[in-house]
Formats: sequence, C-alpha cells, structure tokens
Amino acid sequence: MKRRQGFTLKISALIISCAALTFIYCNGGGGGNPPDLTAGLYHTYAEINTELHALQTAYPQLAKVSSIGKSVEGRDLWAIKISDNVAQDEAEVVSVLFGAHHAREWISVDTPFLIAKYLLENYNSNAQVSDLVNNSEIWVIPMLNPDGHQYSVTTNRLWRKNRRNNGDGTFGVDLNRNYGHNWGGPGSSGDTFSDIYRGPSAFSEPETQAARNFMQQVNPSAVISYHNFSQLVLYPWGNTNSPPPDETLLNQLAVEMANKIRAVHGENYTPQQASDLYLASGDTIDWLYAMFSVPGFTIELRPRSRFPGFELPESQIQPTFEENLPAAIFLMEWAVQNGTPSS
Amino acid sequence: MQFSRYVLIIFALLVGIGTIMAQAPGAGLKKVSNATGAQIQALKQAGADIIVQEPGYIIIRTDHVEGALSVNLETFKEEEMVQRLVQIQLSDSGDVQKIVDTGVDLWEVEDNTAYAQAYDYYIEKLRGMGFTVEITAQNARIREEKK
Repeated sequence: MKRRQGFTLKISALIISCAALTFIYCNGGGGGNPPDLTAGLYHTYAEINTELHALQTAYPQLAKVSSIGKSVEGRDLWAIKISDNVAQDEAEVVSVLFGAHHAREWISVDTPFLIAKYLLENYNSNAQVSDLVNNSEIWVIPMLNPDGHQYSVTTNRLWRKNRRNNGDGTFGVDLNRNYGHNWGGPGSSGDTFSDIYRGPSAFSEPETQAARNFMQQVNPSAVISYHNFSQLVLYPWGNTNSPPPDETLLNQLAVEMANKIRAVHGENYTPQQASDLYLASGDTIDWLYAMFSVPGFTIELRPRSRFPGFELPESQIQPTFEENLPAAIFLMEWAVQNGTPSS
Repeated sequence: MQFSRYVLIIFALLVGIGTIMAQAPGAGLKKVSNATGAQIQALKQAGADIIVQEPGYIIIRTDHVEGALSVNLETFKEEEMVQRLVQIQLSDSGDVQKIVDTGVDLWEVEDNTAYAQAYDYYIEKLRGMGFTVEITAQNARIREEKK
C-alpha cells in the first residue's frame, strides 16, 4: 500500500512537472537568453506605442492616439490622428499613411512615424505644415502588423507575414495579399507556408479587417502604404496590366512624388503602375482604389537592391524620412485641394 | 505490483495509439526524421509534397495523401522550415510572373536574374518548369549569400 502510494505520488509529480515544463516552454521561458526587444534606432512595437502617446501628450490640441483594432495576437493597432481641433471630427479631407504591412520592412514603420512627428513639431513654425494640418485630418498607422514585426525583432529578421496560426504547423498570412479586391488572383499563394499566402478568404485577418473598417469610416482622399525595398512609387492596378481609369492623374502624382524624393538626396524612386513589376492580387492600394477611386500609392523605400535589402542600416532612417517627407506633404496637399471632405 | 502493471499496459496502449495516429496523416505539414531516399520516393508516390529537405529530416505536406504512411510523422519547430536564397535565370519577360505564381518570395529582379527566398518544394517546382535555379545560401536566415 505504501509502495502504491509512492508510485502514484511519483506519477503525479511527473505529470505536474511535465505540465509545468510545457507551460514554461509555451510561454517562451524555456531557457536561453531572453529575447532582445530593442531594434536599436528602429522602433519596436512597444517603442512606437510609447512614442505615439508621448506625441499626444506633447501636442494635445493636434494629436490623438487611438486603436483601430487588434492584431491576431491581441496587440492594439495604433493610429495617430493629426489635425487642428483634433478631438473633433471636422468636415476635412483625410489622408492616411500606413506602415509595416510586412513585418521585416522596419523602415516602413519609422518613415511614416517620423513624418507624423515632423508635422507636430513644426506646426507652430512652418506655415506649410500648419496650413496642411489646419485643413485636413492626417492619420498615421505606422505598424499594421505588430505581431509579425515583433517576431521579426525577436526571432526571424526576414519574417514577412502576420502571426496567424494556420493550424497545420505553419504561421502567417501575407496582409498585402489579403485585401478584398480580386483576392485570390495572380501573385498570391494558397500554400499556407508561402510568404505570399493570401489567407483562407478575403479580409480573413483582424489587421486587414481593421484597416478596411477604418478606411470605410474615414473615407480617405489619399493614401500611402510604405514598404521596402526597391525605391519605387507604385500606383494601381497591381492585379491586372489594364491601366486604371485615372491613369494620367495617378502617373502624374507618382512622377511628381518621385521628383520630390530625388530633389532631397538624389535618390531615384521609379514611378510606375504596380503591375509593371508583376501581377499581385489582394493588396492595399488596389482595394482602396476599387473602393474609393482615390489616389493610393505603395512606396517601396530604400534601399534599391537586396544588399542590404530589408536590413537597411540605421544610418539611413533619417535620410529616408527626409526624402519622403516632401512627397507625402505634396500628396496630402493635393488631397486638400482635390479631395472630398469626410463627413 | 498489479497496479503498476495496469499503468504499464495503459501506457503501452497510448503509445501504440499515438504511433498509429502519427502514421495516418491528417492535413498539414509534418516532419519525418532520418528518411532514406527510398522512403522519400515512397512518400512522393503516396502524394506527399516534400517542402523542406534538410540533413536529418524532411518536412512534408500530407494534404493529398490517402492511406497510412510507413514513416513516423512528427510535429516540427518553426525554425526547421528552412528556406534557401536562390538565383533564378530569366529568359523572357513572362518568367517573373511564373516565378511569383509558384509562391516564391521574390526579392529582386536584376538584368536576367531573379533573386528570391524559396523552400525546396518551390525550387523543385521551378526546375520542373525548366528554370535554372542556383542556391546561394542554404539557410536564408543565416544569409551567407555570395555577393
């Protein structure tokens, strides 16, 4: 009897130990060094959260931070609204800047964030900025894919997708193949392990659902979605070689943005229809253009080639922001002149 | 004594059921350790796609397999899903689209060469389509690509 009790106790202890070890492993505490949660001068999710709220605190009349939804792992998708009388919804045109649909494209976080910061810091000293902020509502969502970005910081620098558990041993959906216009068409994959996996259905992901709902709510007049790399200014369509109905306008705007970028540091960004690269379906700007018929651009930031590719040195954060600032302001000013005020 | 015997019998039954379940694949990706060339060939003939082929293990997709497989199917760690860095030679303007449509993660096109990150499954697929594919780094995450 004693022996049986001892045996039972040992089995129980073994089960409890296994359960404890499983819990520790599943919660990331399975040994080794703790993950490095900093990315140097690049902003991590926690840092961008802190910085956005610091801007709101510093400029309460001009900046308001809110969450447009949650990621698949439950992180808030932070947005900062910049406008005079920011607490009110005025009848003004809306421009939107997105960053980090793709996790590994860290510069696509910092560029729109630094543009937001510039607008706030220069509102009182720069007439062009104050005119823009007074006459529009500018929304910056610097990190639409925080889960993937965090995974890129801690685990796999080249991670592209979000962190959806696909249920078959693989993770992630390519958010820029998950939008609803011609979802499932060319340039996307049904393989769950593919880096361009489009997801099980259009807008299957909470991140793209949040972006869709947000844009339907604010009714934007102009949008830029930042990516890297290749140095391109891309306009719709991406899913077909057919020209968009507003091809002349979209091309003119893209050319002018590329000119403004080049004027700063001499860097060439090529303006072109997105499908000139290859056909890709389910991306942000195709859905935006199909839905709202307003100019939307994917700007592929520095560098031009795969060396250094996604791993753009920190020393290039500032010049990348500097050269993209006038292009963004140009498009947002165009929206003020030509867009439809959001009701 | 009798109690411990029961425990052992139950344990053996659980292991047996587990083994049987592992050999009858459900949809998804599974790891097979130390597969021989003949086993890999048999897996392919049974309808399994070889997604990753590393020294010591392969990762297969079992979605199209009917019936049991004569190998032990294991779960895998994410980092075991290794991708290669590759260069793909282009011969006409339509080649880039063909490459992207396989599911490859295309990074850049320069002159007549496409640079991409790809699983072995895609590399084999591309070669089957007639492309010349050179692997420049065995593990894209370690990135020892020739510059």
